[in-house]
Amino acid sequence: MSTRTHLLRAEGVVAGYARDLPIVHGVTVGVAPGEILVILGPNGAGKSTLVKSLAGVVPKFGGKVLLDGNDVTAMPAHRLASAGVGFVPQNANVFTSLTVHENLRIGGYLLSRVDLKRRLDEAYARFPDLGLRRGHAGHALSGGQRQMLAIARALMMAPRLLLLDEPSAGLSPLMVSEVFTNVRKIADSGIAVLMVEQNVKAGLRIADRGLILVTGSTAYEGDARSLQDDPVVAQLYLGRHADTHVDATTHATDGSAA
Amino acid sequence: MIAQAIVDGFLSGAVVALGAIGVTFSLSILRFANFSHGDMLAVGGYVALFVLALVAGPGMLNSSFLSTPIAPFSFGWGVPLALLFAMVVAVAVALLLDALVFKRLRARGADPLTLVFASFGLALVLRNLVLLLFGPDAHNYSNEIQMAVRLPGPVLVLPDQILVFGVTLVVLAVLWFFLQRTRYGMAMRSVAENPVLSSIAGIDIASTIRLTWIVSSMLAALAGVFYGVTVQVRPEMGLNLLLPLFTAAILGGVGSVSGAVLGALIISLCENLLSLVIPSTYKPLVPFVLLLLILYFRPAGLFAPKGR
Repeated sequence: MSTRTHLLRAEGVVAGYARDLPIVHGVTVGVAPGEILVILGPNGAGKSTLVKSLAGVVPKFGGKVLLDGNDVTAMPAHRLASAGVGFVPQNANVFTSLTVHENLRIGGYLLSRVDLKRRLDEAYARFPDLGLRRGHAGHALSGGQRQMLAIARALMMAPRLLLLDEPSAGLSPLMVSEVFTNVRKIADSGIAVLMVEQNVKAGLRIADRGLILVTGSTAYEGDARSLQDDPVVAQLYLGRHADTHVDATTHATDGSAA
Repeated sequence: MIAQAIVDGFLSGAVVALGAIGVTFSLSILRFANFSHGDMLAVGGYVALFVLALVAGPGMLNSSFLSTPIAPFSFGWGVPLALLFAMVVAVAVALLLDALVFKRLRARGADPLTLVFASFGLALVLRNLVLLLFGPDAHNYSNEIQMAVRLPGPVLVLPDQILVFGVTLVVLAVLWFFLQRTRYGMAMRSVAENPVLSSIAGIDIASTIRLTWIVSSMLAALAGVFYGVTVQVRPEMGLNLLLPLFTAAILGGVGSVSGAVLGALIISLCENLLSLVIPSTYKPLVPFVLLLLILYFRPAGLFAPKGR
């Protein structure tokens, strides 16, 4: 795990939809300001459940979550939003019956009138395409535009931590590139980004660090470049042949326990 | 005859619309069919009756200022005062029922059908409470004789009906502004579509649910008092209005306030126009037939919000 000071530090998180059937088993993650941590793994590994539990929309049954040193483990989703956590779910991530402008206003629900106006201007400056469609209903947007709107909505509260659940899902390669370029810019502005991603190559390309979940537990962890070059990761997740065979449950590229 | 039926349809539809909005809020935001909503109209209507009886009665609270009719209407300033009391009591009852019953069931993860059955039980409790306190007879707010206004057609309308229709239009305009232009209204709309996404955006779902009960019960009290002004209050008025309220909400499209209003007008117009050709005893059948037709041909309703 990185030695940078973590904004988010989650230790031994156990989460799922039923207490007696957890999906995430004692996962520890940390992400620093300006850093992108990408969480990879096969289907059913618990990636989305982990990020949803960090956003407060899936219950945690164990572990501790610290945000800037403050314990936010039991904090509900609506309070996490005001504490500086933005979340973009994979599905149903915009209000389809509301306009682009209304979606953004909902994103800034807790802001004062003056701050709301300023953040709206910033959102339209950051995503000019949305500015051209501010009166369009969410259901009338393309997949890429919806993803941009979802991210813009999550940024309205100027979060310190942005949680993204598969932002490239269902997008064309061109839109994936655009979305990821924006995600990198967001991180470069000082926001910590924790991103679940199925698109391993694209995810690792923009990330600083990566973590691979297998059946709800951490299997690999390390900096993004070393994960890209790791022969086992390449074989299992990037579709390349590896020269060596390593036990997937014990390997950690940066030497940290996995 | 036809012109009179159309005007009567609009006038009675306005009262149904106020109740139907509460039903559509319940279906879309609270996410269950609240069968006690009709009896909340009765609670509002009877609280107003109680206040009017106090100001017109022989006791200490007697006030000729409040009980003397203001021409050309059949009632005095007591009705606005009674309306205010009715709204406060209806809100208190709604919040109490939520805290005692629905909130506890939600916390236990009860499915919507459990909430529906709970609302059935509460409807019976409210109805029988009204029956116990006020008896089985129908009551009028006023026995004053009004001179009907003659409109082109010729159509006869009572001043009370014109006032109720006008106030309903103002209330609908205020409600539209509240839902479209205020943050709390937008919170209600967003929770109706996606509660999880709303909570991620910082909206407290529990507060929004309370706000929904407040708005719905205020509108129910208003509808109940207007029903008392233009018709009369009866213990079973909530039960009798339940089918038109639900049909209006479903006909208009669940979650659509304008749909609920239009649905209510369509039902009332159909009821009044059809009563020209069928015996009036069959009038309650009209919303039932409309409900079956809409569920068969367009289950999402005529004006359901797009994208849901």
